[in-house]
This record gives sequence, structure tokens and C-alpha cells, in this order.
Amino acid sequence: MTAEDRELLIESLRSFGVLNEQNEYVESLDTSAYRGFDKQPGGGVDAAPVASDLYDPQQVIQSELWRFLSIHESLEHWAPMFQPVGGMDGIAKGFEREVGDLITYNAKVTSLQQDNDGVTVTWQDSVGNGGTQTSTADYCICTIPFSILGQIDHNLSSELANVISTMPYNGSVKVGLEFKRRFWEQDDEIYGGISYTDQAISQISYPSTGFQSDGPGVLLGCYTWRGTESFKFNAMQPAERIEWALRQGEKIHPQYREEFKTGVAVSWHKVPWVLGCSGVWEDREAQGYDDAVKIDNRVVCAGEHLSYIPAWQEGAILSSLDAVSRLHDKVING
Amino acid sequence: MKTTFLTMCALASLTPLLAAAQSSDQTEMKPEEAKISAFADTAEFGADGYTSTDGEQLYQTLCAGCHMPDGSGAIGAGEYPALKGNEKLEFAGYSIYLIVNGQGAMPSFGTFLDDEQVVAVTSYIQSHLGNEYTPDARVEDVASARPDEPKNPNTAEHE
Repeated sequence: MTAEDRELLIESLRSFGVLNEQNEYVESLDTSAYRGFDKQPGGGVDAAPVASDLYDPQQVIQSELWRFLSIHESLEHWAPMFQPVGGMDGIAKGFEREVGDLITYNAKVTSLQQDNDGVTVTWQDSVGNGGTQTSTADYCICTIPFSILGQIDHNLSSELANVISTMPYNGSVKVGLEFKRRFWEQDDEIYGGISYTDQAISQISYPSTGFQSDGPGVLLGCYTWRGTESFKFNAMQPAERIEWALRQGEKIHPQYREEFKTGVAVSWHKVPWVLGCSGVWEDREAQGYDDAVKIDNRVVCAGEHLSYIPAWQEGAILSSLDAVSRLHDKVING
Repeated sequence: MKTTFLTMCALASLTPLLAAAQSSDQTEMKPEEAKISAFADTAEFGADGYTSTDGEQLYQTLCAGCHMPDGSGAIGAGEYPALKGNEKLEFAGYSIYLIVNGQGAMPSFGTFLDDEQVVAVTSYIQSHLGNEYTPDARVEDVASARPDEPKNPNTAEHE
């Protein structure tokens, strides 16, 4: 690095990091313009801004704030990340709108058998009294999570069966909290985004729609991903998870108890059709990713668990598009 | 799921009574606090994971999430096997191996439970939840069940 490079690097720190002429980060109107003022600049009388105190730098480092500073820069969280209007289930509802007449609901598959002529799936009506039924087809795209498929009687190849029966599924817990008003907007000037915490709830995520609307608002009050915190919340009853989301969240937002209306908690280990949040690849090569995505005679598997974007809906959709394309090619071209 | 659901309701209806009895000296109780059980109320979170060496505590705050507080398991599209009256639990080796290494979709717990904790929870499920087997787990059995290169399915990142 040349002397000129060094000078430019320091210049960039003065600009980007708001250092002063002595290359120090100090309490000032300059730093307050980035970190927030003690008193905001105003208009007219008594309008002069007041600079804010700095945090103890040791505390900032010890808090591991840096873990979270770059999350929004990552590919999975960058700015042009759109949300379906009305919530993430908008994608599933879109499928229902387009092909709903082809869907059989509450069909609990108990057997998947293939031979050289076709595929036979045996299933039960899990809510009614429809008894056991069978469906046959020339080919089958199977999106049943491996956590469930591994418990179903099937005659898939041993290579695929081995991947299915050895894939762990991870836990994850979310708690939605409804409050009487959007106090985070009204009192704290928070509009969307996430507050990160080293408490078990890990984050509080604010709604990015309906800004400044009256009436109740819902935020994500807990989101654990894998790890022992997920197991601990999983072993609790829903009301207990909500209580812990309030206990930890109220340390960040003292308004919590006063404004709390109701809550809902989901632990993916308790979701009956998947028994976990997503399939875990520790080592795709060792676990047999290539075998798992192959067309196995007349059956091809698809889902988030068969993608490089596991747990995301995008991974599930890209996996299914790929499976459909490959199966189509096989049927047409042999 | 019907049996499981009824079991959960029964527990949920019992716990508020217990909590109310314990805190009768309080003039006012917030609605959510009335519903919390002792195991949940005293939960300790954090990087240390599970620190208890008590079999019941470990079972009720870890295993019970899937196998249910009374060990009855659960049935949905697939199932969580019942541990209650489960003959595979007669000898500790089966339970030890599964807890340490996982099986099927069940993740391995060996990366955050130490040998004594695995013994404690194995002994608990052998002698509780409707089982009356003689606990025969030893710490050396746990040590030998551990893989040479343990993989941790509990830490990979995703938000």
C-alpha cells in the first residue's frame, strides 16, 4: 500500500466513519447526524440540535453488534427483496387460485409404489371418513418432506431412500404479537426492519406495510433458528412461548405489557406435515444430494430440501421448476 | 393428533391452577403469566444450552417438545414415536445412541449434551413415562456412542 493509498483509506474512514480532523470518533453534531441527536434539529425558536452521547466503544464491541450490521447486505436480505401482498402465504394462495381444482386437501399419503408402468400412491382422508384411496399416474413429482417420506412405505431406489431416511430436520420458532397500537412507529420512529437482541427471541421484526395506520399492529416477537433455544421453546406450550416473547421483548420496548393484545406461536417441530422447519444439509456430497435430486425411474423429488436455498420458498419453487423441466424432457425425449 | 391435542389441553388446564395457587399473595396477575408452567417459568436460555443434569428437567424442556410431556408421542402426516411403554427402552444403548447421533429427521443432541446429561435423560425415560425398566446407562456408554467427527446440525445459519 502506497502512502497515497493510506491517505485515501484514512480519508474514507473520516467520511464513511465520521471521524474528525484528528481521526477520532467524538460526540458532535457530525456524528449525531448519523447516530441520532439528543435533540433533533428543528425550525424557528429553540431549534438548534443537541449532540448525543456516544456509547462506550467497549460495550458496542462486546455486544457483538457487528454480527448483525451486515445482514441486510447479504444476498438473502438485500433491499430489492419483495414480499407478497398480504403475507408470505400469498404464494401458496396464488397456486390455489390458478390450479386449485387439481388439489386434494387433507390427503395423508401412506404408500408410494412405482414399477415400470406407473406410480401408485395410497392415501387416507385425514379429516373425513373417506377411508383409504389410491391414485395412479405415469409419473410422480413428490414434494413430501423427507422427515415424513422416510416414514411412508415406498419402494424408491436404495440411493434415494438412504438420503430420505438420514436427513435431519431443524427446529425454528416464531411468535407473532398483536398490539393495540403501532407504538414502535408512534413512540419510537421505527418503520419496518429488525431489532436484533442476544436474548433467546433473537429479533423483533416490524411490519413493513400499513405504516402509521390506526388500530392494532402485529410484529414478529421471536424468531429462533436451530440451536437449543429452538428446542426450549419447542418444549413449551404456545402461551408459554408468548410469555417469554413478552418478557424479553419488553426489555427493548417497555410499552409491551400495556399494549399487548394477543399472540400466536409456531414451532416447526410441532407442524404435523413436516415435523421440522427444513431439511439439514451438513455436507451435500456425503449425504448424497446428487442422488436425491435424480429422477428415480418414474418418481422425482422436489422441495426446499432439494435446493441450495434450503428453508426458503424460493428454494422450493426453483427445485420444483427444475424437477418439472427434467421430467418433461425425459417423457418427451426418453 | 387427537390424543395429543387432548393431552395438551388437559395439561394447559391444570397449570393455571398451580400457578394461581403459588402466587395467591399477588394482587394482580398479568393474563399470560397465569398460563406458564414451572419448567417454562424457570427456563434458562443462552449459549450454554442445557446446563441441568436432572433427567426430568432435561426431558421436559427438550424431548417433551416432540415426544410429549407424558411420552405419548404424536401422530400427524408422520409420527413422533411414543416413549411411553416403549420396549426399545429396556436397555440404555438404544436411547443413548439416538440422543447422541439422532435418527431420521431427529437431530443429534450429542453436540450440546454432555455424557452425564445423556445418562440422566436416558435413566429418566427408562424409569418414568410408564416405563419400569432398570436404568442401566453409564457415562462410558455415552462416550463410546459418540462419533469420531461429530457434525452439528444445530448451528448452520439462516434468518
